[in-house]
Amino acid sequence: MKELGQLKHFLGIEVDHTQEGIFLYQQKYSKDLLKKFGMLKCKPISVPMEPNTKICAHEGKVLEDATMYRQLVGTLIYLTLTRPDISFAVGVMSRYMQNPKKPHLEAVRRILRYVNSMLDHGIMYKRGGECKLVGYCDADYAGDHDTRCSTTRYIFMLGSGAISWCSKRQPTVSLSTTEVEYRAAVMAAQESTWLMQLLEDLHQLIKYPIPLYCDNLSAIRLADNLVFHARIKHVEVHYHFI
Amino acid sequence: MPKPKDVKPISYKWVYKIKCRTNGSIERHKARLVARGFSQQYGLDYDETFSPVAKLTTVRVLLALAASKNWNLWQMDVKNAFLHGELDREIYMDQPMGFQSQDHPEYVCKLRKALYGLKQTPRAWYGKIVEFLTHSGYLVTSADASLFIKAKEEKLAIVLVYVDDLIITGDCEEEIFRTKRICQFNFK
Repeated sequence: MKELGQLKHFLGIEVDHTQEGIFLYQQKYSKDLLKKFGMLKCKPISVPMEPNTKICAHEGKVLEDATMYRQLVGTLIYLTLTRPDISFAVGVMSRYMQNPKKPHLEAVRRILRYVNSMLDHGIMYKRGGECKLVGYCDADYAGDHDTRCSTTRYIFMLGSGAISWCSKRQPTVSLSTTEVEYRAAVMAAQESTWLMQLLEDLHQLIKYPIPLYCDNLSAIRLADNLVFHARIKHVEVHYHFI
Repeated sequence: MPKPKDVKPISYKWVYKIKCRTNGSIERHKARLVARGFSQQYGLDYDETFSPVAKLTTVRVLLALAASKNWNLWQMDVKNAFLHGELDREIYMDQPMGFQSQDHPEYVCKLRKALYGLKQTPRAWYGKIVEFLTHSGYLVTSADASLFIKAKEEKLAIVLVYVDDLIITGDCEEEIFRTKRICQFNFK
């Protein structure tokens, strides 16, 4: 066993200890990634995905080098360890790993240009701050143009930094935004129970209810008051978790 | 030892690797003996193979906590971690090339410790580290099987295991120091 002193590198993540706090980032990893795919000198861009684009599974020319696409998306998935901002874009692009087409590669290249524009970004955990757990959830209604499935998104902050996040396509097709947002809230609530357990195991007492912010009023009302309305009958009973 | 009846020894392979420094010069040559685990039979040579690793969320929670509480973070790594594991089955291997016995070339080797490539090696290592940490007073947390904690008079020492990388933190400096020392002593 070798003692390596203060924590500096862990699984390719660089850890900086500053006066302000602990800063996690993957600058070296991102640079190696850009170098490997010949994008080190690409033009930076400020948004990882083009707004309002339609990405379909069956449009465009078939990529000759599908393995390269898969490697590219795979390395980007690892980059989401400290970059919740690209997790949605990467999640969308990983849906086309099976049969990548030319437009998909273009979209992934755009993510790389975005990565290049903010190489030194990461997560900051402030020193001595209060440690309060807060959750936010949102959903992208019918965002997948092939299956019309919606995407769940949530993020949890502990004190000043993000600790847990997710962007995942829902397995079922939903008819209303209420249902979609409600499902996102359920997933976030499930995660929060695990986080509570983890913090309890670490002897951190949680004496407050964990706030979970949701931007859909009807979903909030639904969680608040379980009126089993004729219109929401299709929402399965087990989704009444919160 | 002589080959027992009804035993099919598993084969092996030497794997050579050249470790390079970042500037391209050769740091050292590495030779590793790996067993060919794919020739093992389920139920006979191994059964359980699952080995837990820490969730990245756990790592981030720990770092966020350490930051807010001003805890020190220490890192350790275990050399050849997988070779420390104890085997739960009797496994025989052919004599490795270059180390054959002069007098009994027909003998087989009975493995005493885990080897790279065996199906149960990661689990054996996890079992070993769990045994070691629980023996030193740590408790496995229920939320993550690779997070260990020891509480002493309101003070904490926390160990997170990611295969062969350990993160040690907490506010009980004395306990952390002790853990680091016994770790170094036990896994050389």
